[in-house]
This record gives sequence, C-alpha cells and structure tokens, in this order.
Amino acid sequence: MMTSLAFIQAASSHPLTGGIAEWVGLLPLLPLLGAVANGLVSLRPSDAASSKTLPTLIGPGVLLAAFALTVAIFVEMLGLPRIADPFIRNYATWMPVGNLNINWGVQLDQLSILMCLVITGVGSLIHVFSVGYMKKDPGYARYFAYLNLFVASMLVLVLGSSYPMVFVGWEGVGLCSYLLIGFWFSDKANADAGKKAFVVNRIGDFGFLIAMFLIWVNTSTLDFVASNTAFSVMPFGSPAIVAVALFLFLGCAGKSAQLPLYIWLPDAMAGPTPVSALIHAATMVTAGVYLIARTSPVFASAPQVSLLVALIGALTACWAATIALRQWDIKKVLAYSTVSQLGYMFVGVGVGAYSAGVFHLVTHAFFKALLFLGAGSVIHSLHQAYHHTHRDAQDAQDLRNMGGLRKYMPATAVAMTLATLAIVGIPPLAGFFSKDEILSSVFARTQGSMFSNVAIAGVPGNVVLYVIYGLGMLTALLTGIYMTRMLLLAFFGVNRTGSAECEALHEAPASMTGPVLVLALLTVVAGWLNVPEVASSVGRPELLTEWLEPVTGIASTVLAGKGHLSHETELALIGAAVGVGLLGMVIAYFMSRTPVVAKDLSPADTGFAGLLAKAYNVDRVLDTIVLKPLNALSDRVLSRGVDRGLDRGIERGSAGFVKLVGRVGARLQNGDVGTYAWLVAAGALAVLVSLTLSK
Amino acid sequence: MTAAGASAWLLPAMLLWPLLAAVIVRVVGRDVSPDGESGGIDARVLTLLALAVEAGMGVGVWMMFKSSEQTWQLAVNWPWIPDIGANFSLAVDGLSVPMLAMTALLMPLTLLGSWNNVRIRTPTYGALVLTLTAGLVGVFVVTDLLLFYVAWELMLVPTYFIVGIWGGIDRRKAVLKYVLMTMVGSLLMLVAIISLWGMGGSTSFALDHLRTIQLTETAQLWMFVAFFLAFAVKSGLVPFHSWMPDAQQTAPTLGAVTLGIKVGMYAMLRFAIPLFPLAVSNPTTSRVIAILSVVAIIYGALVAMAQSDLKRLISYSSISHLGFIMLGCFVLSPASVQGAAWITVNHGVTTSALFLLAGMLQDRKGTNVMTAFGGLARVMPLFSIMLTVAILSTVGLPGTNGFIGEFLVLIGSYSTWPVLTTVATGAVVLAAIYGLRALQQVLYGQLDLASNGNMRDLSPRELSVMTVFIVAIIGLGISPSGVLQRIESGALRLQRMFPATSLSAPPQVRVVGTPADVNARAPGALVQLTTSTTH
Repeated sequence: MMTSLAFIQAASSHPLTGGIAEWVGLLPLLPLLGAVANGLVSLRPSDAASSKTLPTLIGPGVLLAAFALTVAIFVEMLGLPRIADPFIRNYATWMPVGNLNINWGVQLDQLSILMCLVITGVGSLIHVFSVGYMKKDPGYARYFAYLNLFVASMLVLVLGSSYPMVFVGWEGVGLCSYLLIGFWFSDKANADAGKKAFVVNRIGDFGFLIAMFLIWVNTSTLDFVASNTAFSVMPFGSPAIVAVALFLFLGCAGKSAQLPLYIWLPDAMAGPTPVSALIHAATMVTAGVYLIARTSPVFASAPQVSLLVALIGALTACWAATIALRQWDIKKVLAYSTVSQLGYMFVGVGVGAYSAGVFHLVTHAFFKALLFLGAGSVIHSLHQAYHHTHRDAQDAQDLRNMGGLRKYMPATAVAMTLATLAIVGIPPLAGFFSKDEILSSVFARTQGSMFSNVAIAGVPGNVVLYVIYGLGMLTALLTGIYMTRMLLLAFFGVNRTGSAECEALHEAPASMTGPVLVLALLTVVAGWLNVPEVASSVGRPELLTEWLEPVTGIASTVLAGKGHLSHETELALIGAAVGVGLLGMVIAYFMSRTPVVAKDLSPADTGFAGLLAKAYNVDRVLDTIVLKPLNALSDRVLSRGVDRGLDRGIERGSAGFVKLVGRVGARLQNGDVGTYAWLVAAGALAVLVSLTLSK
Repeated sequence: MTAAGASAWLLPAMLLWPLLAAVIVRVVGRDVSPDGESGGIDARVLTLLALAVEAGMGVGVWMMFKSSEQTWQLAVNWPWIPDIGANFSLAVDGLSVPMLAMTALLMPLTLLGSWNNVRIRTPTYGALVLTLTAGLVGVFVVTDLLLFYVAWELMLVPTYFIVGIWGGIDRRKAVLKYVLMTMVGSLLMLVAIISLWGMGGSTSFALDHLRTIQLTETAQLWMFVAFFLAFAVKSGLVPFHSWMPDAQQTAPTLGAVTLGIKVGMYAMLRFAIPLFPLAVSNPTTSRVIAILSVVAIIYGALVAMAQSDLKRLISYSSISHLGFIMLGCFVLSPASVQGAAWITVNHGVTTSALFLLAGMLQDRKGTNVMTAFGGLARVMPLFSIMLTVAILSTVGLPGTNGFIGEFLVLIGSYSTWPVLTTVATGAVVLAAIYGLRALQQVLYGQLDLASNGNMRDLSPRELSVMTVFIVAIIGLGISPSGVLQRIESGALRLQRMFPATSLSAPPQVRVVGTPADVNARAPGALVQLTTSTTH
C-alpha cells in the first residue's frame, strides 16, 4: 500500500503532468481503433475497388497519427531536464483481488518512448510499404486490421506499467504474429508455421507467468517500479532473484528467438514480407531485449543469470549465422540473420551494457526492416515477372533465381547494399556503432566487473566473457560472409530469373521504394545516436546511454564495476571488429566466383553444406524427440489407452452396480434405461409427497 | 414495486416459474415437426419467452444484490416439512449471484442459438428445458440441504431425456453412463446429508445450522468424501470424467451446454468446503486434492490434443479447466478462491459459446469431425471470428475472460504449491496446441469446394446470439471488476466461516526448491513488503 501511495504522489508532481504526455493512452488506442475499423471493413461483402480505399486511409493513417503523437511527447521530454521517475497513468482497474490490484496502467519513461518511436516510426513506414505490396490481395482490409492490432499490442507491451500489462501486449503480439504468419491460410504450411510460432512462444510465456508468480510471492507487487525497488535491495544472487531472472529469461528467449526456442522464427517467414520486416525483425522479436532492459534491476542482482543471458545470446548469434551461410531462400537468410543479431542484443543486455543492447535494437530495426522491405520489393518483382510468363510455380524467393538485379532495381540495390554494409559493421553506418559497443562492452567486463565473482558450470565469469567475445567476433566474420553472399547472389553477376522474365523485372512503385529509402537514410545516420567516447570528434558521445541512464544506469553500473577500457584497447577492438567484417566480405567475394545456376537446375546441397542448408536438421530432431513422443503420449497412451481403459472400468463398475440393484429388485431390471430414470423420478417424488403430506 | 417487496418473491419465482411454464409449454405449445399437431403457438417461442422472463429475473437479482454486504440476501424461509425440520429456504450471496445470473441469461441464448437443432416433439423438449432450468436455478439459490438434494436430482431427469431423445449416435449408452455415475455420487451425498442431519439433532437441514455442528475430524472426513465424490463426478473430475465427453458429444447443443455448467464446483464452494472445514484443512486432503487437480489439468489437455471431434475436444478442454477450479477452491487463498469462482462462472460462458458454434457446424453438415472441414475461414468469416475468440478464451489469452481465472488461481496457489502450480501452468502450452489445432483443422487450410464450398455463414439469429457471447468474453476479460466484486463478497464470507489460519496467511517468501527468508535481506529491505499483506 505504501508503495502505491508513493506512486500517486510521484505522478502528481511529475514534470510531464499536464502536458502532451497526458495523451499517452491514445498511443495504443489509435491503432486499436484502426484494427476494429479495418476488421469491420473486411467483413463487408467485397467489391474490389471501394474496399481498398478505406483500409488504405485507416491503416497507415492511425499509425502516422500515433507516430506524430509519439514525436510530440518525445520532444516534450527532450525539453525537460533529466526525468528521474516514470510518468504513470492508471486508466481503470483490471483485476482488483485483495491486495493484488492490477490496473490498466501505462508508464512513460526514456526507454518506453524510445521503443514507441521505433514501433510507430518503422511501423508507419511498413504500413505505407504494405499499401503497394498488398495492393492485389483480396484480404487487404483484414491484413491492415491485423497489422494495426499488432502495433496496438506492441505499444501496450512497451508502455505497460506492470508485468501483467506487459503480458497483455506480450501475448497480444504473439496472437497477431500467429494471425499474420498464417495470413494466407489456404496453404497448410503457412497455418502450420503460425501455430508453431504461437506454441513455441507459449513455452516462453509459461516462463513469464511463473516469473510473475514468483515476483508476487516475493515482493507483493507486480508493478515495475515497486518490484524493481524491492529486488534492488535484496542480496545479490539470492535464490528468489535468480529464479525470477531465469524464468523471465525463458520468456524473453521464446519471444526473441534465442536458443533453443528460435525454431519458430525461420518458419515465420511464411507471412507477407512486410510482416516479417515489422514483426519478425524490427519490433516484436526485440520484446525480450526490451523486457530485460525494463527489469534490469532484477538481472543486475542476479549476475550469474545475466552472464547466462549473454552466453546464450552469443551461442545463438553464432549458431544462426552458420545456418545463414547456406540458405537459398532470401527471407530465410534474413531470418537466421535476425536470430543472430538478436543474439548480439542479448549479449549486450546480458553483460549489463543495456544501452548498447537497446542501441543495437534500434539500429537493427532500421537496417533489418530495410533488408526485409528490399527483399520484399525483389520478391514482388520476381513474382510479377513469373506471373507475366505464366510460370507462377517458380520460386520468387530463391537467390538462385535472382542475380544482376541492380540493373532492374537500382534504388533497391543501393539501399540493400547500404544495409548489408551496416549489418556487417562497416563504419560509419549504424550497425558498426551498435555492434562495436556491444563487443567492446563484453571485453571491458572481463576485468574487474561483477562477473568476476560468478561462474557458469564451474567456468569463471572472466573466461566465459572471453568466450562470448570470441563468439561475437566469429559471428561478425560469418555475418560478413553470408550477407555479402546474399547481396552478390541477388544483385550482382548475371541474371538467372529467365530470359523471358528479365523484360518484366522492374523497380518497385514509389509507395514501396519511398519507405525503403527513408530506412536507408536512417541506416546511415542512426549511428550518431551513440558515438563511443573514443570517437568524440565525430559527434557528441553516448547520447543514448545518457538518455537511458535513469532507467538502466544503476543496473549497468552495478554490473560493469570497475571494468574500463583504455582508448588504445578500444581502438584496437574497433579495428579488429571492422577487420573481421571486411575479411568476411572478401571471403564471400571469392566464394561467389563459383558459378550458381537457377534453382531448378541446381543439385541439392550435400555434406556439411547440406546440413547447413537444412539448418542442422533441428526441426527433424525435435520432431523425433519431442513432438512424436508427445503426440504418442496424448493419443496412444492417454486417449486410446488410459482414457478408454478408465471408461471400460467405469462401465464394468456401473454394470456391476446395475446388477446389484437388479438383484434387489430383479423384476425391475428389464434393461430399459428409460424405466430406470422414470423410477428414480417417481421414487423421489413419492418420498417427497409422503414427507410433505405427513406433517 | 419496491426492492423490499421484490426481495420476498424474486427467488421463489425464479425457482417455481420455470416449472409452471413447463406445464404451460407442454400443454399449449405447438409441435413444429411435420407430424406434429397444428394450431397453437410454436412451443419453442413459448419456451424462449418463459426463459426470457427467467433471465429478466436473474438480472433483477444481479442488480439488487449488494456486494458490500457479506450476508445472505433476498432470503426467504418457508416451512416445508416441519416434522423433520426441512424448510423451503432460498437465499443468494456473492458466490451464487454470478452463477445464477449467468445461467439465467445462458438458457434463452442457448435455446435461440440452437433454434433448429431440435425440431421434433418440441413441446416436450421445451418443458424439459424449463424443468432443467428450475433444477439449475434451485442448486444456486437453496440454503436447505434437503431442498438442495431435490434440486440436484431435478437436474438429472430432464437431462436424461434431453440427451436420450434428441441426442445423436450412441445416445442411450452415453446417457446411461451419465445417470448411473452421477447417481452413485449423489446417493453417497444423500447418506451424508442424512447423517449430518442426525448428528445435528434431527431438527434442521439448514446449511447455516449444519455448519455449526461440532464434529470430529474423522466424521467430517467421511462426509466430506461423500460430498466431494458427488460434486466431482458431476463436474467430470479425472478419473470420474468418462461420461462427460460421451454425453456432450452426442447431446443436442443445449444438452451439451447445460452439462458444461459447473454446478458441481459451485456446490463444492457452497456446501462441501464450509460444512467440513476440518476435513478441508487436513494436510493430506489438500495434498491429494491439489495433485488430483493438477493431474486433471494436464491429463485433460493432453487427451484434448488427440481428439478429432470438436465437441469431444471442447469437453476434454473443459475437464482440464475443471482442474484449475478445483486447485483454486482448495488452496483457499483470496486470489485462488476468487479465481476458482470466476472460472466456474466464465467457463459457462466460453464453453457454451464453443458448444453452440460446434452445434452450428453440426446443423449445417451433420458432423463435428474436424477433418471434415478446413478452409472455412474463406466462406464463413463471421463464424471464424467467433470460433477464434472463443478458442482464445479457452487458451487463456489476456484480454479474454479465460485469462483472469487461470491467472488468479495460479498466482493464488503458487505460494502453497509451487511445484504443482508450475506443472499446472505448463497447461498454457498444451492448451495452445489443442486450441490452435482445432482452429487450423476447421478454419484454415484448403477449402474443399465440392463439399464445403456452400457452407452458409452465420444467420442473423446466430450472429446476434454469438455476438453476445463474444462481447461477454472480451468485456469480462477487460473489465472483470463487476463480477469480481460480487464474488469477493462471497469469498470473504467463506473466509470468515473458515478457521483463520489457512485463509488469512500472508504470502510467504518462497522459491521452488529453496525457501528464502525475508528477514535475511540486506539492511534497508523494504519493511512494508512483509507486513502489508492483508488489509
């Protein structure tokens, strides 16, 4: 009670009180209303032309409005001196049960507004892109309804002021992801992929739920501010905190596709490509990174779990990058690349470099959305080309059917090249700054940080950190290889689409290239958000770290301890990171000299290449060791075995009961159940009547 | 009409009106089937009107109930069989009002939603539906145990005929199993009621009187087991559940819906728990029941995964959800009891919506085997939205009513049973598997144009009924406080009846495996965390 009273006081005297920030509740509400409106439109009987106008206005419209409001709030926050506490608004009670009092409440702080900027900003661009991309789809209105609902849920996720509120958004985005992956539901594979995404995410959600129960039992609150305060005064590594952090991380690993729960994300590419860009690259999959930053006091109090987060992140980054080396589907390359980059973000938030992890989240949102939208333009163009020549069965997503596309799609090619350089970490593009900050933070933590005191499976924290750094560098090399390979296969060399199809290949319409070019611009400039100290000549350093300091500063300082890098070391690390990226690009260039032919003419990959192409057969292994046994348990053992057995047992038992009754009144046992029931009724009535009359 | 005046007749009217209406419908109503007699008003219309009146009274009770007063309300107490001390006593509290209102509203909606599901011998059908309504209402409003037994058995007879006459394949066998299994349970309960009456001086069957009898723990245990079995069988607790999928699969839509109302779990909270506090707080009892509950949760979900018939899948999902209610009831923490009461009510909403939708498929195609469909989203978009929302409620998605109950039960049970609750929480994954599988098989995939291409989407009648359900599922999920307030007043009443130890215990600081002591925190630990547990 005391804590919640403290909130009310804090809120009423908050510097944002009375300003435009009071409208923060509108942020999720606008896209929600858009979703409802588009949903209603989608139910109208379809007369093709008119049914597109309204969704086109509503879908991107509500997003642009939400973006404008976000910017306005952001500007207001920028104009104020450092805001120490979050701005909290409770709109209604949700679950009032005893002292468990959960509100529909939002919390605005430096982290949530940053996330809102990314979500509504990148979201607006992708909505606009979708207008062109989905133009000919009969489910146009339904598509925008789902996409708006997704943005609404995502905004609830980042604005929620308590764990249950975040959970509303958390499961909401999962639902929208499910609906959008299976958007073209007539194809069973798409619906399967949607289901897989939802179910695997639910394994993570299980972790989230248990974490909430533990938090409630240990702190008697589920609000972020109060529980974070409570956790930050508990001893480091106490069992309660470790358990909470582990279960929260399980939730994050599910949503953000970390080992071993990443398996749903590559399949999620079955959805329309703008969906992959928005949900499965820029926003939803980063929710886990957000949640760890949001709960940084918990993770900072459990250094061993933080280290585990970083280790899992590094392993995921490396694992996924190797798979990406040999994918032929352009979206699969990008999907595994996303898993890999998410791994980097987890390394960042794992080693307590929260602002570095969030920084990479932001830059990745730009360059990966760009890569996906660019890929979408390419796929769109190939589709139309194959449609033009009536060869619709040809794979429009296979890199082997591309090649030399820069001649036909110059703007897309330039943008994709920029994004590739960014993700490989070439200065001065955005990805260089963010990736470098993560890697140098890992290196800095190897000496004198909180991690020196902990160990994983007996291996001291310092050693683990060196391993993480090594994996990070290896991933940088692999990233250079697979991204350059993708770029060269798609845009350079000779065209393999087909001689007749070449004619029909063309640049995407302005509604699609426009957002792509905006993202390209952001990819170039976003690095300046957080320039390292050592490069202070380029711009004002550590802007983002400074901005996020009220949210993650303490936790970051606690974990970092005295670990600090000299400028010389830092420059050497930067040089090394850029070096391996360039090396990767060179390797990819030499690899690209092996000729590639169109998909239909290519032999299947064999040996290790085949294993990589099949993503280490993880799906098949899981199918054998998890799904098949589970189904056998459910079907053969329980449903057809135990359940039928129980049923028979009951039948025999009840037959015995009938016989017993029969022996008492053998004449009545004529086998007609109707008679029995009437007798029961008559008997009951007789008893009652006799009792009633006997008074 | 003043409130005081209405309070004297509202509950008796709710109990007796359906019985009177049953006679009217049977005598006056016209059979619409081809070989039925002509003249008179369609029996279904009459039944619907009678049920609408009942629903109106149900809403009246809901409005008149004061959540602030933790007492019996709208009570009437008429002598019935004075020789043995049996009274016609009715009253409601916060646990019964939501059940009563939900059931009263559910009946006409279900009849309307399954309008063409039953088309022969409609006057008899209508009369049986009304009699069943009286039985259900009776269970929720009586406070006299003998009268309770009458109402309890009154549900059985109409259900027998509704399933036995209008059911599908194997209806006889299914309904026989149902009748025999529930009868064994209720006979045991009758014995317990009579012995309780005897021990209380053979003067009264009143719940409030019987609660005050001083009994040994052993005596309580025996009688508790009898009550427990009666209620557990009726609700389909594993391993006494096997009648339920069979009966619900073959029953007409309305029969499946009414079989899904968790009267047994309501009775557990109303009678079994307050009557036998020593038995309930016995550590062995609570451990056994917690284990049974979690087994039911996981077992029901796993078996649901293997079902190919939509109605059986719903039934097994319902068996799984029953485990949550049972777990919550017996942990007896405020959140868990309110969560359990919440599911008892809301399960009625969600499962009924699902059975109605399944019935609509059956009315169109004559089957509920899911693989017979596929791709229906293309031709039945409205139906698809309804089914998706109802399934999401079963899956427990936040924003639906399904989430509230599961969340409250689990968070309220965690400190008592950390490991068991963790296992139970695993059901969220299994629920997603069977729920989405149902959606996928029915709605997604390739549409078989030849056989399903001309499936009609919902008619205006079906659409309006289902809209009510969908609004309730989402509305209650977003704003549950109206129902929760009423439930809380009942739960607090239950709490007061109970030995103080188990209910008002503060949340303990516990972690799976390793209990951590709050007092062992670093200096400066927030003191209020350990003290502000009850207020």
